[in-house]
Amino acid sequence: MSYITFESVSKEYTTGGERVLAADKVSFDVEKGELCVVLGPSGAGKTTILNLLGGMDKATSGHIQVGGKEITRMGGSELTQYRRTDVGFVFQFYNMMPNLTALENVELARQVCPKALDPLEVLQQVGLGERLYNFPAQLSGGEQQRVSIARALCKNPALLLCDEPTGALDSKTGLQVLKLLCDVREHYGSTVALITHNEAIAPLADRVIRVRSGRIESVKRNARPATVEELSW
Amino acid sequence: MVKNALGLKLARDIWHNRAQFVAMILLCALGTWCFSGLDAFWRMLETSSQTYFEQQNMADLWVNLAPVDREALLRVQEVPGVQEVQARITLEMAVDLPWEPRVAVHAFDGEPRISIPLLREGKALSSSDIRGCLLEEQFAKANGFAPGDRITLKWDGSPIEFTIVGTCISPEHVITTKDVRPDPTSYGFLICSAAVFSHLPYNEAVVTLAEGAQGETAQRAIQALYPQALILSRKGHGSTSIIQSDTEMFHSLSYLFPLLAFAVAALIVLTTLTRMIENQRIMIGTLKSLGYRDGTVRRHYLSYALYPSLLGALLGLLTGRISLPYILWAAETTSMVFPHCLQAPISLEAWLMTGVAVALSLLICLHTYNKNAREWPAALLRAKPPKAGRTLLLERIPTLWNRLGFNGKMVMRNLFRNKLRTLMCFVGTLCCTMLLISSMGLQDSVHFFINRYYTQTLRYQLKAELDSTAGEAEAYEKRIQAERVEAVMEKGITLASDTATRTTTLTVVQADQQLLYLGEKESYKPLEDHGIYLTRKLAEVMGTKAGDPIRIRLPGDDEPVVTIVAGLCEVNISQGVFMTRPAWENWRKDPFQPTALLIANPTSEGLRQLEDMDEVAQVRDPLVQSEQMLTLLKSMMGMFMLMSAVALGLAFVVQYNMGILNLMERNREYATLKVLGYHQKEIRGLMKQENNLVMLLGVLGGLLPGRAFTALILKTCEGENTVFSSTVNWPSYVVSALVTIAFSMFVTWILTRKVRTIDMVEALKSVE
Repeated sequence: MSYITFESVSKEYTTGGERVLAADKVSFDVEKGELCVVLGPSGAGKTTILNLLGGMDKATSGHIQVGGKEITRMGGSELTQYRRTDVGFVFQFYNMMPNLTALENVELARQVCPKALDPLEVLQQVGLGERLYNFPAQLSGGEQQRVSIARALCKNPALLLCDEPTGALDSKTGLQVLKLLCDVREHYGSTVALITHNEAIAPLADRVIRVRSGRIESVKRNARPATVEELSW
Repeated sequence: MVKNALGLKLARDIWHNRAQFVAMILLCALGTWCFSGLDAFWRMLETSSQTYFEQQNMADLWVNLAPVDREALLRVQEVPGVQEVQARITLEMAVDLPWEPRVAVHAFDGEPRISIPLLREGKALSSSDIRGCLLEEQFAKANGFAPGDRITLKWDGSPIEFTIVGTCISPEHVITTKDVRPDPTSYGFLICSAAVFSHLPYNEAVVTLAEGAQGETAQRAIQALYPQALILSRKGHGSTSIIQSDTEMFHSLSYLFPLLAFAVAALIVLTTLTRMIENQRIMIGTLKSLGYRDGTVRRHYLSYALYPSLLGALLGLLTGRISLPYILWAAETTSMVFPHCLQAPISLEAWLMTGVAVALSLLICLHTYNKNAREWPAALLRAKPPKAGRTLLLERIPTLWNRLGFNGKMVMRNLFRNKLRTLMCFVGTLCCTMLLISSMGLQDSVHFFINRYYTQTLRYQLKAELDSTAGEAEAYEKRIQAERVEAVMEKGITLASDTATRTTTLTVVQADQQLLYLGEKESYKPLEDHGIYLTRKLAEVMGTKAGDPIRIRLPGDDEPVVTIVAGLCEVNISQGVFMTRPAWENWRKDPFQPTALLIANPTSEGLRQLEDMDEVAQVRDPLVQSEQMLTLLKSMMGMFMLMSAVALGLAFVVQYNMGILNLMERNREYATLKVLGYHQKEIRGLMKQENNLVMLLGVLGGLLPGRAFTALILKTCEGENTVFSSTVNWPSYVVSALVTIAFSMFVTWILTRKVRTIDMVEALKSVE
């Protein structure tokens, strides 16, 4: 059985009388430990899939199964528990607490997760050992993203979800972040789902899922995933 | 075109946020209502009394001199500044009725030209009518007299009969009383011709001064002419001084309460406008990017403050003066008698206050606008960057900082992040606690000093007032069966020092008196057998202290006598002069004639004996009197309720506004926490911790100010003739604190419910 299974999942919004189908009978599988890239233009429905996967939103119909758990059957507080222990998020705009230092931002994750790793170690692993006591306003975009990753990793999640992690970064910094994500995946063995509109990232993935207008266009497996050094955009 | 579009935006925005704007209007109105009402009232008091005095040609000076002969009149007339002089005889006599009420008799030399009484019923008194008189209206009604009746007075044992020609009121007796509260059944006044007392010399000259004359100069000049005379100005004259002190009291109150109301209003306007303008940030940026000039945009947003505050202030100004003054007037006229109630036009001060209210709102709006909107349009169009974090001072104390749990650290950082907001919440809670404590403290204090006076100072259960047929003091001890019976002699006197002249009451007590506690804190202190004792407040007013000389004149004296102030007594509420019987007998060669008996714990036999005694005119029970004063307190309950309501309303609006602002600013953060896996309960817990900390500090901070404010209000209301000690019982502190806390937690609860509605998906959408 695959680690992640989407079975005919649809998400419908009714805004002001209009019905919008953000996801239309989406079905795909992802194996454990894979790096899966969800590709598609703006408005294609990539974020919707991520949100559903992360238990941040409820599907209108269909089944989602992650690591043996039926997400679509879970209620509000079960989903919160799911997010606590099983999922780590990396956002495009970092979403740091401006009021907390880098170390404290990562500590946030430890507060809720019983099996968390040591925030200090994780920050050192992402290369921010020198910047522990700085506030987000004192960090560059790349550094903030790394803190964000550290925060997600601190929970030692089985599933790491990344929403356009390099979207707000320049190419050099973006590559650094991607390298980090790959290293981390190897080190921790988590399954990583990364959504982006940037084609150049696709070669990195074990599995590429292309989405358009809320539907799956194609699912391809990369026999030989590229390394970060081989990428350029 | 431009104006119309913006105007439409203004109108729609106001309608959209109508609850907020209505609150702003009402609060601006509250401040001006308070001021306008109190201001209109003291001016009403002043105008009504001044007009009354002018119409009836009320005296400016009362010169007590014996005799006031033709020569004296001429000499006084010639003093620069004096306009008119008239001689009269003023005496106090008893009325021949079973309950022996007394009247102040003013027998004029011819028709009254000064302090002319105002006729109410019946006919005017003609100067040729020797046996006719005008009787005080209330006294007549209370004692069953009407024009045409006869009234018999007792003077020196012999009766004098008058025919009541009519009833009247007098500007000299706006309050007809011997102490604080008028009692028409026992005291009144009567006007007649001096021809009745042809064998008596005139003992008083009433004087009016010319326009613009210096009262003090004239007074000193007359005093220099007649050093033994006792001269009272309007300030020292009993009835007039009460009107003056009440007017001054309300004048002071008209600054005290509105100031508080304005502060409350300012706080709420600040929080409301802050929230509104921060909301409109993107709007402001859009307007600027469209090409609207800075000035235009600023003026547009100033109108958000201008219209509500202008409307509210004017509303308060106009409704204040048609409501509050009449309520207060009704209360005042239960003891004061005026022929008309005249309202002064809206004073300059009231207009100024209205202007101040509007200006204050505009200033607050301007400040808020400048803080938020003075950026390049592009910056405004981006959402406001959250405030950068900073290390706190607290973090420099590792022992403390590390003790706080992780949540505690977050709470502290959040509180200091927006200091102004935290401060406003703190001040709001503080004011709420302060007002609640004051509201209860005022009630505590009144209960306290009334109770203290009637049970601590007065140590007797009954006071039997005796008429002029009373016998020797010593005899009564045996004649009435009780734990203790003491005789006292009370006389109305005039005190004069270098700085002031006042009328007051002298109480002469027995040598071994025990039933009046006149020491520090109303403890027992035996008085020495020489000199007189003044109550502390009276001594302050007279500008004397222990050991100083003072002049004292008793009724019937030709001249005032100098004596020494032996010491001071501490008495709540009513002030006066005390001395012992031996001191009296040494000082004057007059006998000690008891005017009342103080009786402690009479037996039922003793009560019966009292009833049988003819000379007992009236029996008063201090406890009954204290209850009467307490019912007066009940009529003020409305004011206390209002204070408490304002307090809670303030706390609600401030905390709610600040809470909503926090939620808005931290929406993204709360959404992130949700994504991270924080349960709603945990997020709400964080919010609660923050709010509760500020709230607790505010409550603690409000305890002392509450006490101080209570004392301040009482001091303002005291006036010259009374002492109101302030006290706040500990239950009041506790209840106020608990109510504030409970209310605050209620507001927090309302705010935390909104956490449920934070949509993670919406909140975390990219900022593009």
